[in-house]
Amino acid sequence: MDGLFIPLLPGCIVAIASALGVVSARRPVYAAIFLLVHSLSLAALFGVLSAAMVAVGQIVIYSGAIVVLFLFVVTLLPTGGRELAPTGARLPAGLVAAAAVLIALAASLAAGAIPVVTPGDLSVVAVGHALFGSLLVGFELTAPLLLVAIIGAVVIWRRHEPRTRTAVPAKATEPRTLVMHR
Amino acid sequence: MMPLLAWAWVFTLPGLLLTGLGVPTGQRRAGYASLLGPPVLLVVALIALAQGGSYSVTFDGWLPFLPDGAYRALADPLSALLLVILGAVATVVYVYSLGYMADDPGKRRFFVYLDLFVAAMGLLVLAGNLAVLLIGWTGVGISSFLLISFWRDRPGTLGAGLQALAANAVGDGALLLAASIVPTGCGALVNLGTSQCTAGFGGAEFLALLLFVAAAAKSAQGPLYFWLPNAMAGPTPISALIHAATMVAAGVYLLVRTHALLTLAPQVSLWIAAIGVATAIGASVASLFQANFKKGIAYSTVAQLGYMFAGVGVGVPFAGLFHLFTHASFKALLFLAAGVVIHGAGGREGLADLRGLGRFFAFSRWGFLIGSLALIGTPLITAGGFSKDAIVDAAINSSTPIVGWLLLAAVILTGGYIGRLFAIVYMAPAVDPHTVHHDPGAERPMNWSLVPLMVGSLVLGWVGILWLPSVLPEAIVGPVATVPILNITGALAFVLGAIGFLGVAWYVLRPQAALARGETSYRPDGWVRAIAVGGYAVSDAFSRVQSGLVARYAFGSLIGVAVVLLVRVVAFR
Amino acid sequence: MSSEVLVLGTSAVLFAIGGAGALMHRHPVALLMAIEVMLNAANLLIVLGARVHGGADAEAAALVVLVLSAAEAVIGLALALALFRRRAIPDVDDAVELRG
Repeated sequence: MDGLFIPLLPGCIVAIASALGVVSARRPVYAAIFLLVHSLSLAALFGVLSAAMVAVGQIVIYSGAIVVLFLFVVTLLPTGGRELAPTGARLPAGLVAAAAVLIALAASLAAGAIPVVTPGDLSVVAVGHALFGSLLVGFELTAPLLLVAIIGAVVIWRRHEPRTRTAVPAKATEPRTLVMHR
Repeated sequence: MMPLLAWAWVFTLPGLLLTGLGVPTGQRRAGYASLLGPPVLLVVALIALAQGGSYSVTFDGWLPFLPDGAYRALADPLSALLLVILGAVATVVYVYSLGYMADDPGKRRFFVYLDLFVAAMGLLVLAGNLAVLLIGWTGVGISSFLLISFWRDRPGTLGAGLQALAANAVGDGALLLAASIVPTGCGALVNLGTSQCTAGFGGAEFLALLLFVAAAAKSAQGPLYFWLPNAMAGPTPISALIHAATMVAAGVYLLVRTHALLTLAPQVSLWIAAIGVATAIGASVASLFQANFKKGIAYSTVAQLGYMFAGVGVGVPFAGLFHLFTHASFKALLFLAAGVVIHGAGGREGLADLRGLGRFFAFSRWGFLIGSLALIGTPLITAGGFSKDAIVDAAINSSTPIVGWLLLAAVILTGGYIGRLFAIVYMAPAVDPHTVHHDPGAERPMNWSLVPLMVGSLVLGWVGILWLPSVLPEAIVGPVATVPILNITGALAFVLGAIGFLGVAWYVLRPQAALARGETSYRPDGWVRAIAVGGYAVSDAFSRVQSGLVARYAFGSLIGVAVVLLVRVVAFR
Repeated sequence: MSSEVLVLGTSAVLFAIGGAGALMHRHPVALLMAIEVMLNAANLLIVLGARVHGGADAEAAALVVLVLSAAEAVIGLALALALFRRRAIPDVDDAVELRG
């Protein structure tokens, strides 16, 4: 046990408990609230791990925007959020998959060794340098990514009417000045 | 004149602006403002080519995230030659389009897009480093898309344009990667062959491979051929300008420009030759089975580009360049001649619809005949003979003569497919003469624009062997000290081509009565049936994986992750 | 047990829980929330990696992952809402057109 263990422990426990709540909640509204608690607990973990920028980002972006978006959608659901029960094979399949992943990850963990190092400069200034320096291209690409996501959401929502197709365009019978073809 | 030529890519921009703003008003006069650009380009480029010399323009620090992000333009005899081709074919096509698009409501938009294309192609040719080349490269890709999907009301044109963009994207990606891995201070294209510049990631071979992928995407070679036949959905003038004479030649131009790099990458050069030959043969065969007039000619373009790539791949860039020069003329001639018939038949392009209708269009018939003779390489009197000879000769005398023999054998296919097209459209009895309508006002510019191309298809071969080696840089012309005026392989190529031409033409024109014949149906039995049933069973079993259920896919993924992790732990203990 | 191992273990457990939830739920929004849990687990791992090895670069990457999860939530919720058109109580198994 080292110095950070005790501060990390409550955060980890709350994160795991709220994650269990997310996946086992009866109604989506409860799940969304559990997700909020989960993300806040992760923000606390990030803070303890000296990642101040990401912690604040988690609170503002994740809890403040994404989870709120989930809550909006859930509360606007027409059925008030009732849910179908999982079909027969799903529950054991889920448990088997979770167990398999856990075992594999535990085996990988046991096989390797984690070097104990003193953390480098994780301050906001350093993160800023990284974002606008070595990660510049990726950082700039997130802007068109968000644009594409917005456009994609709108496109997915729109219903498509069948468009009537005309054949060969009609010939112009008298001179026109500027014709923009439809 | 070279300093002026270095800025030649802006010559069509005033026309673009004026036409776009609607300056000569009215449907008949739309596009007149754009007519000045290409002739000016042609004249300036011709004078510059005759005078010689070279000139480069550099503005530093334009695109800071690339190793060489300067704006570099280079005007030298090679770019002047390409600009001569561009200016000449563009002038002819612009005049032709006045007739072809006379009644089209989108005529003004058409000329705007044409101006955009010529400007982008000019920038591509004048590019002095990979960054500027990429801008021109993407520019011609975008104009190609706009022009292919020009008639937005017709089904399929947008899909064809998107296919062109998709293939283009592959090439753009390769070119961008090449621009990113070149070591700093090494950007100028002419320096790519030096050892300093090939010290980047992967060395000379990888850089050459990237440039080859970009060239293959632009010139429809190898697996990236698919967009060119479908690009025939666009109007015929742009099939002639973009997809025969200029844009698809950009790939060959890039490889000729960087030929010094290719000599340092013998593996990639071998691949270039191999893919060129394979594409030439495959596309020639494909052209024999096309039901659409323009697609038949399009596959011919793919095949001829394969010849050019083979010429570059065996280490004789002049041969590829020479064929590019002559091919621009006779392929544009073939397309524009075809366009006259298509226009007269009301826009129909199917060979069944056009059967025999070409006989009513005299200019088109002569033009197509001259173009066909040039394509099969008729020696002495047509240009194609000299250039195709040069490639076959160079290939036979190189370290991989099999390339040359295969190309020589493929000439019989060339004769075959073009003989088929000529026979069906221009020699067969007309299917329904009343469907032809002549429109003298539209046909006059179309017919007269064919004349310079006919002349070019006859004389450019002489121009190429007598004048070009003296104006092009020594390094490009080098290995071909004297191109033979006529030799055994050339004569043999012509004979093979003529046999193919006449043979298929006879087959197409033979009396139709012999075709009426009953056919028995065929029922597979025994082991054939067993193979079929087995195949279905296997595919049924595999298709069950594609259930569409999210949970099953997620389960598979998670179990797969677990398995991979466990394997890693066990295997790398 | 060091604190790094604790965080690693938490991340692994969170990932497994999220994976199980993704498999079990038929309601699209619940499915998405389970996926978000998995994403958060991965982000926790990245932040730990920043502390141990990667420095500020990895922390910047964690921020970019946050942006990515926002984009993914947007698209996922649009898809989920589109499923509400079919029936009142949605089911992700509805949106299947394959016949495999």
